[in-house]
Amino acid sequence: MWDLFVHGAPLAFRLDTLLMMSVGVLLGILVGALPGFTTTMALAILLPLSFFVNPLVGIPFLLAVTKGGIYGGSIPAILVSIPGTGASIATTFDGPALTKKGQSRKAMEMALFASAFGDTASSILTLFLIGPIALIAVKFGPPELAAVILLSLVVITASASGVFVKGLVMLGFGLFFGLIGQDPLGGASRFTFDIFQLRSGIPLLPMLIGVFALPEVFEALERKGASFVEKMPGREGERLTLAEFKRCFRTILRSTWIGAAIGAIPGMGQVIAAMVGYSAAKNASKHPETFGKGEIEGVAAPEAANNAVNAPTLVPLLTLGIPGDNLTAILLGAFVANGLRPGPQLFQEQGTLVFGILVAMVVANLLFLVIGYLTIPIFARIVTIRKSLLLPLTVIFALTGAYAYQSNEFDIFILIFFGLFGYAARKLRFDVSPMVMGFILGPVFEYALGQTMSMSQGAFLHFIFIDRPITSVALIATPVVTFLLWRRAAKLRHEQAARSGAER
Amino acid sequence: MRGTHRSTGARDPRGRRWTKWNFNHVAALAIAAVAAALLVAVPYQVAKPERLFGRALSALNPTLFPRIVLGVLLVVAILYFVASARLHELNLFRTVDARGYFSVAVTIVCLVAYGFALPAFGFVASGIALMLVLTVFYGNRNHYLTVAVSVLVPVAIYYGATHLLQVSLPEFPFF
Repeated sequence: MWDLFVHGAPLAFRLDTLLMMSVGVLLGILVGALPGFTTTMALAILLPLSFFVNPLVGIPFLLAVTKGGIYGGSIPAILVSIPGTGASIATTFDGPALTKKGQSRKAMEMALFASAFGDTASSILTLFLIGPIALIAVKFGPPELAAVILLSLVVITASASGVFVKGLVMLGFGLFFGLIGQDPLGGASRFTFDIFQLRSGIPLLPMLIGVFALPEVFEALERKGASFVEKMPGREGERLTLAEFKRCFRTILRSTWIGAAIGAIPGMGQVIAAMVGYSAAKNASKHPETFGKGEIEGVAAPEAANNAVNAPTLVPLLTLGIPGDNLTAILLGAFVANGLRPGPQLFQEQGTLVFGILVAMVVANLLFLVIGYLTIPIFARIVTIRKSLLLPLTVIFALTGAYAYQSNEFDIFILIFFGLFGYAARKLRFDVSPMVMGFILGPVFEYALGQTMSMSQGAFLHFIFIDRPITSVALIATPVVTFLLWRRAAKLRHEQAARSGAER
Repeated sequence: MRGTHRSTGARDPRGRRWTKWNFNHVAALAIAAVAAALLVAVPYQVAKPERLFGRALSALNPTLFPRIVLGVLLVVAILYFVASARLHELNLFRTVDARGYFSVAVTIVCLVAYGFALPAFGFVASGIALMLVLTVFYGNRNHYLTVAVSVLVPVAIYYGATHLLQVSLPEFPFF
């Protein structure tokens, strides 16, 4: 592994990689700063750009978009109390209060420094831990892979927003969409409804762009007003001091650990990390009564936690091929489009490249810090951009991305179908994350299950529960972990609902 | 967004009473119907497995996994139906006014029209038309800006894609 790291690290410093990461950070902050547009949407829209360039340029570009986007969400959260992304919901607890005190610049700088520190620390941690984890993952056979996928799918569904049974419905739909095309074992045609274009299945990328980008456009159209935000707050006020950063450092460090730990668990994501980070900071504070009234630690805690999630989510993706959330599901699309199949074999076949990408992820944080600092005043004004210009641009990029993947006009209609599906799901309060995960992991699960049945030679239960201890542990852990996570997520949602109710 | 039960007389944010029978029931029934129909369609929609010298090529029959998935979806839809009476959620379709629906509907029509126009008129011509219609429809009244953005963006994307990224986009009539 050390050799791979030594050979891979210099690849991250290619000029084109650095340039594209800088562009990615800028685009990420731009989209994140727009209320109503999420990082997921930005990543879906920009995903096609990564297909046609070297993976060492395209994938770090998308990682940079993610980092910039999650930080960018804090800008409208601080300025106008509208979270630019879900990850910055907790930042609205203290950010706007600081703005009212005339300290918006201080809050945005703290958000930037906390985000950059949390992301860098968790990226370095990931860089050192991913190798040993990959060595364990490479010993996984089809039974272990099938059991871990099953565990991940249920965990992701239990952690999704909304009601658990509705998450299961979405998971079922995702698995069904994954059935369309050819069966992964024998190649038999399934559920094509005599539509020729469906014989190779539903293409991943038009589906992802449709389900994540178009519903946001439709929802933006529903809202009145020429811009997302009509009026900007006044003066930016004083800057962050070193003493204030030092005072918050313990909080940032705690949130970084929380974010990194949560990121490694599929399905948990930035929103939960930010909420837990905020709660932990409040609980540990000597003056918890100041939280919610303009406490600078209340900005540092969620921002460090939500960015610290980014790197560890790559661990299950790269080592097992299991995307933990929507962002990594889109990143999986970028890997696949570049001919790389994340999973146990990736480190053996493309280890140098993987370490190049991981080092680029660390470098992206430094770019993010510099670019973010220089552009705070510019992006603070982005929130007032006109919808009549922004939405058509989003639409044309979404359509181009969907078409360009396979140069197939039918993919435009796939995009529209999934755009409507995603829109209806939002309106009826279904979370689409389990659907996306079911779609991606369903065929892999079926393939691993088929191989397991072949290996068991008729003694299926004996084989998985007696001969394969890791498989049996994963299968037994599935209901237990699911229940615990579901309880935890439900508690957090109730706390969040109670808080927003109290604020109203 | 959460409310209480009809017996308490509580109302949703738009003043309607929460009722026992709600949109979740309808959604659950629709999903159950779809799952059941697909389950019935399995023998017709899944091709027979390939056999070599009388033996199946795969240990897993191609109908098995679809039957499991659709069977589980049907059971989950029934559970969802049962749970619906306790779910006091607001159907967010009800929060959209007529203007919002109209905007979304026009956008969808434009997207579908673009899907048909793309192979016939090419990327640039279709893109300019789509951008012009959407930019004006979404309320931009600065005509110079509308024309500039609508022309420059598709042309820039076209040249960026075909020359920098080596991606093929439909050509006609000038590009």
